Amino acid sequence: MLLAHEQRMGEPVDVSADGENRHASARGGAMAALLAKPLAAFFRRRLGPGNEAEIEDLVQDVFLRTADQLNLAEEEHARAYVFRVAASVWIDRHRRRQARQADQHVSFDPDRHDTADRDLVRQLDARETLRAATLALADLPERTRAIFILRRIEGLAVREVAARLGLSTSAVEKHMVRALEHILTQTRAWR
Amino acid sequence: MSDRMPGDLDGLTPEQAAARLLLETDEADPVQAARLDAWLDQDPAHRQAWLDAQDVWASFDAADAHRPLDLPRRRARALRAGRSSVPWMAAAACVAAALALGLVLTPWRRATEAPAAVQRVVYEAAGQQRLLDLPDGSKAVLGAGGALDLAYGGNERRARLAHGRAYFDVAHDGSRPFVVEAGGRLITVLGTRFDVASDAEGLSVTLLEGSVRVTASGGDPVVLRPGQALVVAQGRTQVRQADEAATERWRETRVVFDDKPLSEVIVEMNRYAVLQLVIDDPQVAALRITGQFRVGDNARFARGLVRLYPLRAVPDGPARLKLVGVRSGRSLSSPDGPGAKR
Repeated sequence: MLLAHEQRMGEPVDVSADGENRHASARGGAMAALLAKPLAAFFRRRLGPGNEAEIEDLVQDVFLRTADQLNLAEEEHARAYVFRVAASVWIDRHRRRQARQADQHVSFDPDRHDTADRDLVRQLDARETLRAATLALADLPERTRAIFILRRIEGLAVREVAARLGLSTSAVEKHMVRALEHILTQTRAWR
Repeated sequence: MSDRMPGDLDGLTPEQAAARLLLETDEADPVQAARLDAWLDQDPAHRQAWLDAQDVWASFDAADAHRPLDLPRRRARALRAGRSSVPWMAAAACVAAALALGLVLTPWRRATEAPAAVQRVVYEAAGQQRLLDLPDGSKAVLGAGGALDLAYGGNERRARLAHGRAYFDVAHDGSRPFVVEAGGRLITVLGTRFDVASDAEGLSVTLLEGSVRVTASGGDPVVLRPGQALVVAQGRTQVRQADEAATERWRETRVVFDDKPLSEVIVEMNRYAVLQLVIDDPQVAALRITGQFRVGDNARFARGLVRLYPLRAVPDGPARLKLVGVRSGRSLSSPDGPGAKR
C-alpha cells in the first residue's frame, strides 16, 4: 500500500452531524455502536485497562475484517460472527507481537495490574507452550485426547465429533472440559 | 447457546474454572460476559489462569508444524464409534461418517436431481481474463480460456468451473451457500475470497479470507484456513501453506491513481470487491489519493486509509463500510469519549 501523497485535513469532521444517512446506514451504524462496547470489553479483558488506544485499534480491525460478511439483518448471527473474528484478531496480534518479541515492553505494566508473573508467562515462546501442552495431552485417555484433537486441531464442530464417535454432544463437551482442565493444570506445574 | 451458562465454579481450582469458562462462555452474550468479568475480577489468580488458558488454547494453532502431534492426530482421525471390529461397527462408523458429512454432501445429491435452478448464466473468457459481476453481488475474475457455469437456486448458488482458473469474492448469504464445483471437488462457502485452478493435472484451491470447506465424494471434508491451499495432483491431496503472491500473479490486481479524489478512487475499487466503500462526508470524499493499490480487498485498502488519514471505517449495512472523519469514529470504542453523546 502506497499513499505517496498525503493531504492534511483541517479539523476532524463529525459526520454524524450532517444527518444524511440512508436507511441501511442508520441500521449499520446502530449495529456498530451496539457491538463496539462489548468488543472493547473483549479486548480489555485480555489487555487490561489503560490500553484504550490499542483497544480502539483492535475494535477497528474487527470492523474492517467483518465488514463484507456482516449481515445486519440477523443480529444474533452478526454478533457471534463478530466475536469469532475478534478472537482471531486477538490471536494475530499475539503472534505479531511474539514475532517482534516486543510483548514485555508494551503490553503490560506489572505495577499497575498487579500481575507481575503475567509477563513471565507471556514471554514463553508459543512453541514451548505447545510442547508442554502436547506432553500433557499424552497422558489423557485415548478417547478424551482424540476428542480434544478433533475439536481443537482438526476443527470439527462438537456435533461432528459426536456423530463420528457415536456420543452425545454433551459427552463430547465433558471430554473437552476434562482435557483442557488437565492440560492447564499440567502446564501450570511445568511453568 | 446464549442461555447456557458454565456450571458452578465453586470448589474448582483456577485452572479448572478457566477451562470451563474458556470452553463454555460465549463472550458475545452480555450476561455470560458479565459473569466472566465478575470471576476474573474476583482474584488476580483467576485472571492469570484465564490468560494462561487463552495462551495454551491459542498455541494449538501451530499444531501443523509440531511433529510430536502427528501420530496422535492420525490416531484421532482414525477413531470411529466403537473400537471393536464386529461388522455392525463398521456400519455404525459409516453412519457416523455420513452424519458428519451429511450437510456438505447434500449438494452432490441435489445436483443429480432435477435442479430447480432459478437462474443460469454461462461465462466464458476467450482471449483474456474477465471481471464478472455475478447476479448475487459476488465478484469473480475468470482467467483467459476459462468457463464458468452458474446455476443459482433458492437454496444454493452453484458455480461450475469446467476448466481454467477463477478468483471469487463471494457475497455473504447465510441461507444460500455458494458452492464451486471444480476438479471433482465441491468447495462450499458462505462468504469469502478464494482462488481455484482446475486442469487435467489436478486442482488447487487457495483461501485468501474467510473459510471454505472442500469435499470429495466419499472423502472427509477439508476445512481451509486463510493462507492455506488444498492441492490435488496425481491423485494425492495435500493441504499446505499457500503462496499468495503466486495466487494473485495471474490476475489484474493493481490500479494506479494519480492525485484523484477519494470519491473517484472508491468507485474504481468497488468494481472489484463485494465489500463496498461509501462516503457521505464531502471532506472525506475530497481527500486526494496517489499511489498503486491492490484491488479486490477493500478491507485491506480501508485499513491502509485509516492508518494514513484521520479516518475510521464503520460497518454500514451488509457489505458496506463507511469512511468517516475520525471524531465520530472515535466514539465507537471509547464509550466515555465526547463522541458518545449524540
